[in-house]
Amino acid sequence: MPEYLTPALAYVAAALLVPFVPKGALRGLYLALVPVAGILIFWGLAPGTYNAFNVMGMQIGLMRVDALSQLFGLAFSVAAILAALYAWHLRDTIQQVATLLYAGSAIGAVFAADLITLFVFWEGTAIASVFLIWARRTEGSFAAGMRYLIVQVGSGVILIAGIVLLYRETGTIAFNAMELGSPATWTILAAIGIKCAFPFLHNWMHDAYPSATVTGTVVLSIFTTKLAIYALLRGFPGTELLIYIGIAMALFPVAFALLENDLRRVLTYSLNSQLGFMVVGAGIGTPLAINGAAAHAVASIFYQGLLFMSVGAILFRTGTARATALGGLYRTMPLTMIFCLVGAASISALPLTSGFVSKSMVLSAGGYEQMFPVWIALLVASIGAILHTGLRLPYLAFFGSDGGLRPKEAPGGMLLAMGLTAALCIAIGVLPAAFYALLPNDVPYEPYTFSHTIVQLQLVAFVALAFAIAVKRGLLPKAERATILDFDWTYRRLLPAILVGVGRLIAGLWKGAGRMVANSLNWGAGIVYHLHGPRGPFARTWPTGAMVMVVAFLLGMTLVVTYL
Amino acid sequence: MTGSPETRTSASAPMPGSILLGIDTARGGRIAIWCLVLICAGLAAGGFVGHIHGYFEIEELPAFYGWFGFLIALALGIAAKIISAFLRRKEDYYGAGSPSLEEHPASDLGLEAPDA
Repeated sequence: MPEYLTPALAYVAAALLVPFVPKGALRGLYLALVPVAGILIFWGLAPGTYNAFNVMGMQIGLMRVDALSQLFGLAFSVAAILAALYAWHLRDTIQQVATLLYAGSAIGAVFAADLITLFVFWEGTAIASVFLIWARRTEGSFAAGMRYLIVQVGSGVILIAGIVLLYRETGTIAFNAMELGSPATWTILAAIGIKCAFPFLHNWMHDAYPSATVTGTVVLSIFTTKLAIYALLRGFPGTELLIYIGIAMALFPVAFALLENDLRRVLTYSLNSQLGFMVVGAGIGTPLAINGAAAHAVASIFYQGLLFMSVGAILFRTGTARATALGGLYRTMPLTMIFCLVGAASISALPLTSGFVSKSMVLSAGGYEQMFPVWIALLVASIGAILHTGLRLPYLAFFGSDGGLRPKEAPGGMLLAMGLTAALCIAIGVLPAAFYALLPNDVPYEPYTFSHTIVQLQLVAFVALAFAIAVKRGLLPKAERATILDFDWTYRRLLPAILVGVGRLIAGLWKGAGRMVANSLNWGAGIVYHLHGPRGPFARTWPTGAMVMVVAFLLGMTLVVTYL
Repeated sequence: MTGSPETRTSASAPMPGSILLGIDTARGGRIAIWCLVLICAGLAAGGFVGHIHGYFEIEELPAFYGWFGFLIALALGIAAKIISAFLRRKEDYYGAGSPSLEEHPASDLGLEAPDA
């Protein structure tokens, strides 16, 4: 095997050749085959580190092959194929090149055996992906892209700072499990936390993803956050703090997903919540929990991707993803509706879908460890997912009040991609044993017990009933064209307001101090003028006798002071 | 391009949309809800057929997942409605340059009516 070979290289080489491939079906086929070439590079290799070399005393490993990297590498590659099919209609070379570089960087990062290689590809994902936002070519998307780039590159800068600290501390840059405690590991966790959209670090996702192009949002939803989950599973398994962060992540987006009007933004909050389950799994850290987090990440790549695809197809055909403008689309987009419902069923963890066999592992891991608060919090988040994405999203788009739009069904490429993704969601749910065989730990787990199946069906059916009643009685918030304040309010409104306030205070103080100094100078000048001015006492011609009297008085005072 | 004339042209629904078109009435909606009630009752009864093996005692309660899901779903909906009073602002709250205010550029879309 060549020394510098990594699946990422296939993507980079292919991206360079994209402009020379004729636009149309040939280019579509070319873009869909690149991930296949990437898979051929790593699939079937025995576990181990390949293509390792030494740079300035640091051991670089471009390709570490083990169950975890192969699982994520395969999932990313398959998702890249599906994304290429979804974007079959696209004739924008910039987006096509950016997608290849982005996917290649994410896959390169997954196979990185050292932190320097991880950093290079980490930044690669940031730089390549921003073009999917800018490709919308509007003023707003340019600004959103800039904000996204600052955050993503910032994450990379924090990561390299952590790597430098770690190298000084341990003398190694190997990307292995770390113990949280030193400044180095805290810094690295912060970098991963930004990309993973931890609470208070999450707004970049809800800002950038809905600002991208139709296909760009689908591609963005696949790689960045799942790469961060991979990094957590690799670098911080069993870190207790992640359990609490994950719970917060799973819960807080629920309300926002129920309030948002833009369906792409609903899905970003939904994705944020699902990431919480994975972070909890990484935090619990038992072999079952790690398997659950990895399985849920892979399942989420596909069902969340499918949901983004279906909303993207709606946007593509109607020009809007606003719930207030949609409704009743089942009439003319029935296939898109069916695929959306498969995604909705998966995120609701309905039996025979991927979500059922993956999410339950994380909940079971919490159950086995007797972590009742963790278990109940994840159960509440699961109910939230059924409510906001499993039911509300398809209801607003395809059913509900008729928006009057009668668009054509999605184009063939989109339907093919959605159909294959939906089939994958069902295949994972129907054949869990084959899916579990790909997971990193050899832990027996049976999802289809009577007990588990019946309680999950109860959960979904009763939540559906509650949803129907809530819709009928007006107990759910109405979809409205509005801005929902999130944590970004603190730095988009509160912080600027504080800075303006502080600025005004300083300006006021400066002005007051200036006035005080000017007044003092005027007063002093007035006294001097009063004493020494043309009519002042010192300007008068005094008689010699008076002068002698003054001098005598001064000498007398001096004498008294001398003897005191 | 929201609601552009070409996307508003009426058309008869293709399969399987036409099936749903038949039950998309007030009566159909009521029937659907009652069907859902029956399904829920059946599933709640189904829970007594075999033993529910849970991790915690609370799972042993009759139809725990059913009523817990029902109550939490209603609570989340109501909570979101209350929260919306505090968090909802005008669409242009962050200024005119916000991407959410922009129409999606037509060059990235494929607006077509079914009969186009």
